[in-house]
Amino acid sequence: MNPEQVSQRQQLDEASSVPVLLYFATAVFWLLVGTLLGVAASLKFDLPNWLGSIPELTFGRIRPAHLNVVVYGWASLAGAGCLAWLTSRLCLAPLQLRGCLVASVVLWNLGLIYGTGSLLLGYSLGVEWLEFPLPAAALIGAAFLLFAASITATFRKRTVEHLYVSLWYVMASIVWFPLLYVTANLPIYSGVTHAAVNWWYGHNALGVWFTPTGLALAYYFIPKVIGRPVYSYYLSLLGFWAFALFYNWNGIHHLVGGPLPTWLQTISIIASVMMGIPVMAVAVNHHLTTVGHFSLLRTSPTLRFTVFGAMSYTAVSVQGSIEALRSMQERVHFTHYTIGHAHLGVYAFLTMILFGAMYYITPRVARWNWPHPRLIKAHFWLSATGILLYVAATCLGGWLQGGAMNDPKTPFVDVVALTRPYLTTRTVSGILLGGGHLIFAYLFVRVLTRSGPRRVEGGEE
Amino acid sequence: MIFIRLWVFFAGVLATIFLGWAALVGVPGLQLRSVPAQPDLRPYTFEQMHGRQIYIREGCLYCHSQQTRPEGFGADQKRLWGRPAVPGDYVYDQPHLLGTSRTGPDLLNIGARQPSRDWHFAHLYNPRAVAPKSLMPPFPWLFEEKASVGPGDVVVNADRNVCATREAQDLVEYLLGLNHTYPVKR
Amino acid sequence: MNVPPAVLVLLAVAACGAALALAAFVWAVRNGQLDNSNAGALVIFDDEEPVGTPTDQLFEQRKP
Repeated sequence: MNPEQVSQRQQLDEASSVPVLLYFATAVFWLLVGTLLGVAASLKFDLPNWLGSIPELTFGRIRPAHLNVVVYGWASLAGAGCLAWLTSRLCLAPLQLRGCLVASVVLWNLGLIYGTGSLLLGYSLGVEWLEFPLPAAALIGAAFLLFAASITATFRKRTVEHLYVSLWYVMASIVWFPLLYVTANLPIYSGVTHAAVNWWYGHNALGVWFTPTGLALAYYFIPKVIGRPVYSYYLSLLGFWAFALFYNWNGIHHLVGGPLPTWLQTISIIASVMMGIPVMAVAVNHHLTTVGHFSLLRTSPTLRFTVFGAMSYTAVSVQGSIEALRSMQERVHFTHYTIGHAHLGVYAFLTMILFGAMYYITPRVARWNWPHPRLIKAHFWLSATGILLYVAATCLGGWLQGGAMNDPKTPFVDVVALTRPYLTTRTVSGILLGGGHLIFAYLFVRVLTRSGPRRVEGGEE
Repeated sequence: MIFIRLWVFFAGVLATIFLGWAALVGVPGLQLRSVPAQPDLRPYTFEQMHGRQIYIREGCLYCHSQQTRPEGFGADQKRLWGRPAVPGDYVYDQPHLLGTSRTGPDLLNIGARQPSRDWHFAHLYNPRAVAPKSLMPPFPWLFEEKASVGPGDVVVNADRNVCATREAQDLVEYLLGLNHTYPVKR
Repeated sequence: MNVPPAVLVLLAVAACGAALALAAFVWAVRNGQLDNSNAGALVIFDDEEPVGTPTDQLFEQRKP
């Protein structure tokens, strides 16, 4: 044992603790808010008149509120906290500009409060994934830049010679996302061009911020927890650049069959299929790193959540490549299938990896271990079951919905009626997910407040 | 070291996003900028613009699309939802409202398909009164119950003197204006 | 399908970029730049958390 290195890692973690825990705490808050909004929105399909006289809670307002809260609140705040910690570890440099990170948390949350409140009160820009009024978007944009500043400063203070693969994704995303967010929020577009900008943004937000976050964390935690290096570094290199090249061209697959030039739709479909290359590179890498060590899934919550997430990445990407094809789009566009795909990505892939990462990072920065391991297991099973049920219900329901919609002899009201059991199943799955989130929040508060039994990790002092 | 120079990495990162933007937004934008509005498409009136804002405010776009697809892309044509949409149909739309979900039917030509103001008022007030299997939320706050009805009041439900507010009237004005059935002129 | 010339240019640029990257990769392999590449994968380990030691066994029972 090298005492200098032990204390260095601990020192790095301690230096990160305040900003990281601030990101995490606010992320957990928005997770609960977002889940509540989501379950409420789903319930309104089962009971359309429920709370029907309250304008602030009408489906058309809480649905975008749900999306923006889980995406820019939970996923982004948790992601930023994890990546800040990770950057410090991978650069072997203490987190820099911590004041900027604290300011970032403040501005980010102010933006979320302003934006969410605006949506509920009826001030939406009406653009999917970009509904927040400009002041809220500006706050979030500024918060992201402060985050990027800290990452950059930490990167410049690095003492490592080699840049680990996760860092490529982090450094790329902090360049990509501000460019994307500012360009898409400019109030200068109209007509079908605006639709193109909208979905260039929508898919790229996944491609340049959320997916890199998930991959960066998976590339670190799978080898780190198992104790084996990534299977093939060549593959990581290929995977990264193929990802950067192809993902950027996917966006118009959201508009197949729409009033946009055919060549444009075709390019996006081809790019969506080409994504199979980087996705396979990642899948092979992760699988061959884990193979032979699946038994560690029994003992490590981080590995459980992360491997679930990594497998879901493969699944959602393969699904997406197929979904983009014209013949699929003809059937599933405009249906609940799309929603299922979205949740397979943002929840089964990204959110599960974020849970895994937070289960690893939190005790190391808070210097207090998780109490009640059984509750962690319950969280895992509720989330895993919940999301699998969610995706199955919405994808199957959407598939049938699309088939019926394409049959002109089926009256439209009957198309709607056939989706109802699947939508009810979706509500049930949302409640399962909510249960898992409540457990997670409870455990997180216990660690922050250092209450509950003091546990020592098995086999370690 | 994998990246011979760090600047190669950042150059690649910038190049990939720029290329994607150029292909998906830049070039199409230039191409579409020269597409004029369809000659038979009228700009929105003041009331219709107001109605459009209410459409956005209440999130109608999350259940309704406004893009009729051609034959071979679903049953839009067979369902008589209107001829396939073209870019020139959307020139006055800011923001665009193409939509990505059809929990409810496409609305690009709803003004032609359902020209009855009374139907729209009743439907917005209580969707299930006119379409029992509908999942659409009700919008009672777009209406008001008046003690007594006077001239100029738009009565929706005579039993309780439910009248359409300005907002409901403008929203319906917008919906009735959604009529792109004119023939496409190149 | 009517493809604007500008898009063909973009596709050509992208293809050139990809070809350049591939060429650089092949050069790097030939030149031994990547011989030590798997060393990069070892960066995440150190003396206290070396290769071969799992680092998260939260569910393991503590030995009495």
